This record gives sequence, structure tokens and C-alpha cells, in this order.
Amino acid sequence: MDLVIIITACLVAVTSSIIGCFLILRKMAMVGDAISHSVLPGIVIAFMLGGTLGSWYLLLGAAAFGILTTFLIEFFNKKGGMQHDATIGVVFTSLFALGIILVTVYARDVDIDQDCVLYGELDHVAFEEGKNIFGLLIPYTILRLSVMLLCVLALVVFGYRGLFLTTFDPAYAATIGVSVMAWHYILMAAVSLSTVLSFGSVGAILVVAFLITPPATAYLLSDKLKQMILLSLVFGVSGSIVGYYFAAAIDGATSAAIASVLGAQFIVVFAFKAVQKKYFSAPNIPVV
Amino acid sequence: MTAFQNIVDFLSLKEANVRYVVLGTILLSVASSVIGCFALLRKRALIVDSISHSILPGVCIGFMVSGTKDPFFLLAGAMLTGWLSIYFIDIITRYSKIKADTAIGLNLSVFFAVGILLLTVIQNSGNPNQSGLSDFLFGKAATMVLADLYVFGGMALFVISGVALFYKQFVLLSFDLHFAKTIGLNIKFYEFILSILTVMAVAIGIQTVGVVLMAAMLITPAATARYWTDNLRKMLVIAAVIGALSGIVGAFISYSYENMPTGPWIVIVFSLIAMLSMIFSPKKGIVAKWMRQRRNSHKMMEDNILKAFYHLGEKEGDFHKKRTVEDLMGLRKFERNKLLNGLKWLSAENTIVHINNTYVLSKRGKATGARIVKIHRLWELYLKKYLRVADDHVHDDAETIEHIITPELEIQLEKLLDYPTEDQHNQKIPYSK
Amino acid sequence: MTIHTENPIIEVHDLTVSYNNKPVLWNVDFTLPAGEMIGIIGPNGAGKSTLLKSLMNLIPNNSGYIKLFNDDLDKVRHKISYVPQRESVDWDFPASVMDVALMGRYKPNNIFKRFTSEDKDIAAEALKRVNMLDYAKRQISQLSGGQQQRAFLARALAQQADLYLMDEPFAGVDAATEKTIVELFMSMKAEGKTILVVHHDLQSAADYFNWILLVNTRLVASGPTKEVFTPEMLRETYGGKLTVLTKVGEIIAETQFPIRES
Repeated sequence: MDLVIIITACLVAVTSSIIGCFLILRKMAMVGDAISHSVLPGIVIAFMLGGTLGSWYLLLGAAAFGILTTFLIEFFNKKGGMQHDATIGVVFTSLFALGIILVTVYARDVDIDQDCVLYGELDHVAFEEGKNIFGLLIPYTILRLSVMLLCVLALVVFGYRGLFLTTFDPAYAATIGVSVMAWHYILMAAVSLSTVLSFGSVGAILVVAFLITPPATAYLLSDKLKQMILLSLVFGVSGSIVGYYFAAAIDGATSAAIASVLGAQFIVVFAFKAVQKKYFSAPNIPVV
Repeated sequence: MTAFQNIVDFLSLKEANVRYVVLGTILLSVASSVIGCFALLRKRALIVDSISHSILPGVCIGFMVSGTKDPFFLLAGAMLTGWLSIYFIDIITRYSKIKADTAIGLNLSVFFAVGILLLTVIQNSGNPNQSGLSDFLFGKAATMVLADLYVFGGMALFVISGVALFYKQFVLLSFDLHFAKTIGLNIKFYEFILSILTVMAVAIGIQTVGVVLMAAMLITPAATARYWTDNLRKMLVIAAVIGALSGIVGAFISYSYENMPTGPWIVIVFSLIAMLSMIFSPKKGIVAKWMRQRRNSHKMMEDNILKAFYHLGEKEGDFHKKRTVEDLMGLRKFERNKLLNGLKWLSAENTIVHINNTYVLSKRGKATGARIVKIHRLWELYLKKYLRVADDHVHDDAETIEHIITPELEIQLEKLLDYPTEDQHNQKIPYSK
Repeated sequence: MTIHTENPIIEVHDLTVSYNNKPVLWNVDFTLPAGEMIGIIGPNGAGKSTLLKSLMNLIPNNSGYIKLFNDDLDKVRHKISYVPQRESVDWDFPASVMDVALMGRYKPNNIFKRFTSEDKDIAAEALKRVNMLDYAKRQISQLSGGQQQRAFLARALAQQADLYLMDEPFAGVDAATEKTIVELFMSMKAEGKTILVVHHDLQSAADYFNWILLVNTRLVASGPTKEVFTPEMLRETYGGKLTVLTKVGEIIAETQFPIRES
């Protein structure tokens, strides 16, 4: 039972970390935050139309809200003339508010409540229905998250150079004829899908902690992108394991405990690096 | 009770409770909207989001320390963690390579996670006092009682007075940091005051809107007000009014529907007003832009028609001869329908006279046409002389600019070029008598 | 004063470019000869970078056309290398110097494939040419300004282009690096490459470039250095804004008038 929950958490952490690395390197952490909030109405509508998170079309529809968010932010900023940071704030609070109203009003029809929105129902995955694979009963949540992880891995393995290039120097990428827009939307689609799928486990807001924190911690420690991605996976997984037992010990929500541990990891590494910089680094006198 | 009856009952403020809630929400909303204007202008909108999410653990700590929902403890905790998050964001960006957006997102989600953790621990501990603590997540305006009104209302007034007191300094911080530095303003001190007031506004506002959506309460009214004015004082007033209005709606929802959280409704109202402003506001709205474009096309068509008349007049030596549509289309590639429309507008203005199937330039029309032609040729000379543009390239540019030059610019232009009589293509430049 | 050339490698015809609906470059016309070191000179904020960016269609133009190698940009991208301003990139990005050089070997049609050993050799050769091969494994966050610029140049060299567009390659760079870069440019010119550089420093401009574009919101002059780099032309370039032009630009921005009638 423990294992099932831990595996689910790890799947969420790993998928989110990989995507999150690119998000923070593109300075789009807050857009990621906005998307994860904005998919809520899509998820609720999907529930209203078709039961639990089973149907793939509905999931895609919910994820479409994420893409819609990026469009709206662009539209309000360029055509509507609103300041960029304000646009992000207005769009995601509106959509999230809409989602909460739907959740409250249709509480009876939909199997989501406010708590689920905030921190998911990670522990319930142990009691979930599942599919029989090679003699093991695997909960649907784990199946879905595994598929998502495979897709993200495929994206990063095959699209590594494209992501690397368009993240580091989009102007240069445009001049050699690479479609910077396309890579942008692919990444945003990944964020949308991933937050929709993680919703049931960790909720709409905590998923941001999974998206940003392990990559940020890894960023402090590494100078190579591949290493950064691997490190953030390590932090994500270790945070999930420690967080699970921490939650059990103090009787709190598992997802929140994991996110808190991820935060603690960041604080430790940050403090370590700050001290290292102050007392131990030789002045950097580069030779010309 | 019909819906209408319900609204009337509410607005008549018969019940004391309703009076407290309405007054409270108005005060809180006004405080947030006003402070939000400065956050928006200083491009700190997203930091506000982080502050509001960070308040949750503070509220929980306040509860855990006091064992009760005493507003003093909850507020103290809220302000502590809210302020800590600003501090952390600053430290993180200053002492590491982490960028601002990442620092904000990190603080926001981790503080919130700790808050949720504490909240679920409290909920699971079975302490009976904890019911209602989760109202802070999405807000419940109706839970405000008279005691709360004193505390929260008082603090809201404090925030509003703070803005009034330090208005001049806050203006400098928002618009002209550079100037502020040169006159020796103690920037750190006033930024500190502004952040304290911001944290305070956020902390008290969560009653109505809740932690998650609180950012909207500061940012959306300010962003909306921006569409209606460029003047800061007016912006503050408009934001305050919008804030108050939405607050009343929220209070009404809370009054009518027991279990409905007020936060999302207030945000929806804010957003609707913002959307409407974005579309309909007179100068910056989308509709206004569209109408401006139509006016521009309208002017261009009218100018081009009068110009065509003038050119024909120049060529044939008779400005007031009867012209047909075909004559005009022979001179310039007009779209027939648009040309006919344009001729209609011009007849209405008496710059041309419509006689049967022909059109005649009036004296007024000739003067206007002459002016356009004059500006066109002056601009071509200007491009040649000052921008060194080749003679065969000046025409297209002048075709556009001739519609834009104002009478003041016209005077400047002819003086600058020393009242030339001909352009580089040896065409006469018509001056008015 | 615009001196035209036959068989130009770059032809710009009546180019007007705007930003936020306000024109920042008016009616620019010039042709540039191949195989030269060409400098774009003018006051700050007066359109030099914008001109370079519009050549690569990074900023769309409101009027006019641009021909490169007497063809459209999309057909000749593989012959052109663009080096952006150093500060346009975040140097905290986790990448090595070799990673940056190898980026020069990307093309839209090979972006999903692995680098070949030929790619790696070319990148290494490029690094060697700018004296950065020893730093191949160094992380870019640990580089000095001059080293960063040289990494960018290595990337450009790895592209093996014929036309190089560079935005302020000498900005914030120490004297020794500047010398290295100039020598590199000279050897590239000797190979028949064309180099177009946005340059910020008047003093060195006359020494480095044999063709100069003087730009201040409009083209003041284009031609061989000796003919164009005169006190009179410089006075006109640096003599402040054209007030009428500025006012017209503001009106266009305010009324959102279209820059070309159609």
C-alpha cells in the first residue's frame, strides 16, 4: 500500500521535474503556475461530462484549457494592451475562480471537492480500481501517469536539441529557421497535460511545487543541462519518499508533506551554496 | 422569497449583520485595490500572488500557538509569513542564480504547501476550534462579526491612510525610481513601508476572497482602472470603486447562499469588469481601437478623393469641372464601392457637390485637396533633403504621411524647407492665400 | 549619400520598420558589396540593431523588401550566420562552451538527429580559431565577457556561412579579445566572407571597416569608408533627432495610423 502511494508520488515528481527544468530555464515558472490553475474548469467540466478521469478525450479537453491560457495571456497582452504580469494574474485567477464555482455548485455531480483541488487525494490511489497487467493489479492513476512519463521522456530524448536551442537562444534559433513558436506550444501542452493528470494526486496548486522546486534545487548545483535534469529527478524521488513518511508521522496531507520536503531540500542546498560562495570560492579571475 | 426580494432585503441593510459584512467587505476591498495599484505599477503583480499564498501557514501557526481563532494571532501569523515570503524572494534572487519568476513560484508553492500541511494536521487533530479555518482558503465574507469589523476594518483604514500619508513617495517609487535616487529619497525605507502595507492589505483581505485568489483583489481592479485613465489619482479612485462594488457582490453571495465561498464570485465580478473595460474603454479599449482604425481609413479615403479631384484640376486647368466616377478611377485605383461611399461622405460635408451622375469640387473641397497635395509634396522634399531618400522612393511614404501631418507640423515643415515653390518632381506646391 | 554596388550581397529597398506601431527606421535603401567588412554606425537606440534584426526577419517590416544573395531569406538561411548581442542570452544556462559551438551545426532538418563526428570536428576547429578550444568543457557561466563573445563567434564559424551579421561583437570586451576578433574577421574576409557588424565605437570604426552604413532612424549614408566617414556625414548622423520626423512618428503611434496605405 505504501509502495503504491510512493510510486504515484514519484511518477508525478519525475514527470513534473523534467518539464519544470525547461520551464525555469525559460523563465516561465509563473506561466506554468498559471496553466496548472487554469486547467481546473476544464477538469471539472470533463468530470461533469464523463465521470472520473478515465476518458482520454476529456483529459485532452481539459488540457486544452491550458493551451487556451497561453493564448489568452498573449491576447490580453498584445491586443488588449494589458501589462504582462497582470495578464497572467487576471487570466489564471478568473479561470481558477470559475473552476471553484463549478466544483462547489456541482459538488453532487462531480467527484471533486475543494480539498481535492487544493491537495489531491494521493492516499486514495491505494484503493483505486486498476488494470491487470502481468498478474499485477495496477491502479489507473499509475497507468496514466506512467504513460505521461513515457511521453515526456520521449519528448526530452528526441526533442532535446530543439528544446536546448530554443531555450538558450530563441533569436538565434529563429534565424536558422527553427520554429520557436512550435517548441513553445509543445512545452505548454506538456505542462497542461501533466498538470491535468497530476491533479487527482496532488491537486492544482501543489503541482506547481513539483514543477518548480526540484529543478530549482538542481539548477543551483549543476552546470550541465543533462545533469540538472537528472538531479531534479533525484530530488523529486527522494522528496516523495521522505515526504510520505513525514506525512504519516504528523498525520497531514501526503502531497503537502512531499512539497514541504522539496522546499526543505531547496533551502538546504541554497544555504550550502551561499555559504560556499562566501567563504570557499577563490575569486574568479578568468584568463583571457 | 424571490430573487428580487432577496436583493432588496440585502441592499436595504436591514440586518445588523448584513451591515457589518457589507461595510467590512467595502473597506477591505478598497484597501486592497488601492495598494494593488502600486504593486501593478511597480510590476510586482506576481509577488502579490506569492504573498497571499504564503499567508496560509502563518494563519495556521497563529491558530496552533493560540489554540483559538483569535484574529490577533491569526493576523500576526499571517503578516509574519507573508512578509517572510517577500524577504525570501529577495534573498534568493540576490544570492543565487535563481531568476525572479522561479523565486516567486517557488515561494508561492512551498509556503502554500507548508500551510496545507499544517491545515490538514490541525484538521486531523480534531481540535473543535478549527472549524472555519479553511474558510480562509476561498473566503467567506459573511463570517465577519462586529468584533472582526473593528479589527479588520480598522486595519483597512490604516492601510488606506498609509497610502494617503506616503502618497508622494509611493508615486516616485512607482514612476521614477531614478529621480527618487537623485533627490536622495530613502528608497529602502519607503519600499519597506509599502511592502508592510501590502502584506497587511493581503492579510486582512483573505476574509473575503481567501488565500488562493487574493492576488486578484489587488491586481485586477488596478489593471482595470488602467484602461480608464493614465492619472494615478483617478486610477486609485476607479480601482477603489471597482473593489468596493465587487466586495458588495461577494457579501451578497455570502448572504444568500450559505455554503458558497465568496472569493470566486468576487473574482468573477472583477474579471468581468476587467474584460468589459478591455473591450469598451474609450481610449485603450479594443472597440475604441477599432473605431480609430475606421476613422483613419475614412480620412484616408476622403483625402485621396479630394486629392484626385485636385490632380485632375491641375492637369486640365479647371478645378471645378464636372467629374464622373470613371474620371476619378482613371486617375487612381479606387475600389468602386468605397469610392462611392467616400463621395457620399464628402457631399454631406459640402466639399463636393453631387449633380446627377457627376461630382463637382467645391471651393472648400479645393482648399482641402490643395492642402493634402501641398503636404504630400513638402514631405517628399523633406524626405529627400533630410533623409536623403531617392526621388523614386518618396512617393509611397508621402501617400501615408500626407494624412497625418497636423496644421502645426505643416507650418514647421514649410518653414524648415524655406517655403519651396516646387517639389523635386517639378510639381507646383500650392500655398493657401 | 548612398553609393550603390553591382551584384550586391544584400539589397534593401525602401525599408520601414516599426516597433509598437511607431516607425524606428524610415525608408532605408542600400546595397552592399560581397567580401567586405561593413560597419553599421550611429547613435544608440537609433535603429542599428533593428536594421540587423529586420535583415533576418526577426522584426517584420512595414514596407519595402530585402534581398540576400539576390534571393529571399528563407532560401538562403544556410548561407547566413547571425550573432546576437551577448546580453540577449542568459549565461547562467547550464551549457558548456562546446555545447554553444555545436549549436552552429544545428539546422531545422537535422535537429532530431545526433551530431556526426564531422559536426564535432567542425565545432572544435571553430573553437580553435578563436582560441577557445582549451575551454571546450568549461561552463559558460564561468566565462569572462571576452570569452563569451568568442564562444558566440565559434558558433557562428561552425555554421560555415558566407554572410555574417553581428550585433555589437566588441561591446564590453577587453582589448586583447578585441584584437583577436578583428584578426579573425580579417582572415574571414580573406576567405571571401562578408561581415556586417553593428558597431558602437566611432574611433575604431574607420580602422576596422572598409564600407560603412551611417544610421540614425534613417540611412544617412552608405559607401566606402573614405567617402562616407567624413565630418559632415558624421555631424548629420550624430546631430540629434529630426524633430519633425520624431513628431510624425509619435502621431502615428498615437493614432495607430497604418504605416502604408494598403
